[in-house]
Amino acid sequence: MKTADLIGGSSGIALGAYVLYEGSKMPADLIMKIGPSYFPDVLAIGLIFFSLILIIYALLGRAKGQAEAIRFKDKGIQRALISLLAIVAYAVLLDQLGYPIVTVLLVAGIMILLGKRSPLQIAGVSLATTFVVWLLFAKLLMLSMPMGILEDLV
Amino acid sequence: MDFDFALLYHSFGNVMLDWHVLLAIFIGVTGGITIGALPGLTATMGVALLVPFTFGRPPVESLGMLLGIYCGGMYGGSISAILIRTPGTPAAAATVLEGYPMGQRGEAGRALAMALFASFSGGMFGALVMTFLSPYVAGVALEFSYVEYFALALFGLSVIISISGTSIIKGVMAGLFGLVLSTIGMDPISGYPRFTFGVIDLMEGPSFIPTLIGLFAVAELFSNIEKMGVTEKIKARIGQYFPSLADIKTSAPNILKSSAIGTIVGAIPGAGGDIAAFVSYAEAKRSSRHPEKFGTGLIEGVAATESANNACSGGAMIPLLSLGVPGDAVTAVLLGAFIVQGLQPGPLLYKEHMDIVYNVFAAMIVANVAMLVVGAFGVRFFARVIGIQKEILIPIIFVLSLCGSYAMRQNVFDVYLTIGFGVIGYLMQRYDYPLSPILLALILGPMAEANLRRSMVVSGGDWHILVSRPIAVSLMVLGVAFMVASVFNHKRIEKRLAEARLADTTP
Repeated sequence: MKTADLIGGSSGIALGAYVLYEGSKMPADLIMKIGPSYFPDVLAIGLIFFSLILIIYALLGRAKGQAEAIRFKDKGIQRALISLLAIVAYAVLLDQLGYPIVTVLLVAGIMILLGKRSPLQIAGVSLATTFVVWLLFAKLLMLSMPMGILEDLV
Repeated sequence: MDFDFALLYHSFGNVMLDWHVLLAIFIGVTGGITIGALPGLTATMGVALLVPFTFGRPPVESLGMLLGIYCGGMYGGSISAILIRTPGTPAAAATVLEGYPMGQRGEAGRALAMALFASFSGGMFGALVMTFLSPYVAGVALEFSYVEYFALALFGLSVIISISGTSIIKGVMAGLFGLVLSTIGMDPISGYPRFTFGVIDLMEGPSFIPTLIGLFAVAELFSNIEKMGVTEKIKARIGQYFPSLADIKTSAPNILKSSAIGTIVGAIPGAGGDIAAFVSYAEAKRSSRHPEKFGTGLIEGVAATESANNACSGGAMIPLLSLGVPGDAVTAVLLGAFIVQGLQPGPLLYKEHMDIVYNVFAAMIVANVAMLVVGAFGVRFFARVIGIQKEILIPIIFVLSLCGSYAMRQNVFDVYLTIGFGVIGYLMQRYDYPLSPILLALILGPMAEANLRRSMVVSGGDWHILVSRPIAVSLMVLGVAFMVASVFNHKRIEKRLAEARLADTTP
């Protein structure tokens, strides 16, 4: 957990410093004495303070608990990363390709990633999920889902 | 504020005679039990995932469904706790201690029947206390000025931070991180845009529902994918739907006591069902005539933990409805659902939408009855649900999460936000930073800031206004006391929880 806490503490300090820097550019309020930057500044100082404590504890060898390092060779981490890329691609392509295509691809892709191999099951689950979720959002809740390149077909 | 019996009676009519509302509650309860029973999916996640399905529906219908999920989810966790020794929700962790040994002895049906009965009794107790107590709390809160609201937000934040997570420092850091996030967007007083990077979509801050879907659903999916286990097959035979009279008699004192403990713990901001269940379990063991038998599969133990975590839901609704301060992570999500409906929980809700408040009371009570019915007749189905393969479940939840965050504003930016918070939530959880302080800070942060600044406007910048009102001062002192006490007690509580968890993992 030591390295993890050092990284966590440093991230906290970096975020706090950024907030203070941005806050310094905000206008001051002369009447109330506390302007838009007041609250963020107080929080940033608090965050930096507690991040420092976390770092000091870690350096003194008092970090609590066990932490697993993220190893890119680990199969689980690889799966999680691929699924992250898949959902980012989903977001990027949602408007262009349209909901039906990207959703079928996402469900099928994740199923294959997680070890499903039966084509029938993959096709069935991905088509059914896409259809049922579309039915719920578009028909029951009257929310329009992007149809992308299928726009003209509908 | 006096209690209005006629309005409550009328609200029962609204809930029970309108089949849309009744159906919504039953769907919610069924969905909640299913989600609760599935390990890795919590009640918070269930409500977060299903909030988007309430957009555009009338308030009573959508709130009824969400309350159904909340009640059902709390009970559902016990099913997998008893059958496969994996609590379906954190709140059911204590149920494993007695429930699983019972299941091993071939008494899974008896344990499940008691879990359901205790959940119903506890839930009903909590719901009734909520119904009769919150109007009075709201009555007091109507007198609150900006100063008291600031103090209340501060109190809520200090409690949340002090009791969540294994490390106080990390709890505080998570809370401060959430508070910093809550300052993104236009400043509540001057309208100055802060930390928006020029992105118009961030002008109102990170949208609440996508943020919480990211933190509580997508983050959970990543860790599920990373640690894919083997789905367990259920072998237990379940031949009992209701507990026997003898079992009810043995457990009644514990159910009553644990329901009271659960309601009180639930009403404290930040303390949720898991804490309520462990506290009640400890109390049941302490007051038992045969404490040495605890851990071997005692029906009283199941009764205590399950009535406590369900009573917690009613308790947590009290500060939500009457003060606008959520009592736990699920009620924080519910607060988001209220806001989506254009309703701001808090004392003013009683003034402006009294009918809705009473409908919520009625819906909560009906949801508990629905839970009893659905739970009894569906227990075999839910036991089978646990066996659903994760390879199928995970992609479906991904689609629900991503589409749910897209649906509200029909904006892809919100999908990116969800993914971003999913990654942040996954990393934070992996390294022991609790997530619920972030969620509550997102709600209490703006409340604290806006009311502090307004107080300053009223006083012309004089800080003395903060110590000018007795309730505000008491709340602030209490908040500090909670923080100090938690620092001193943390080691002791941690040791106890570690012991309980050790007992839970050693066969």
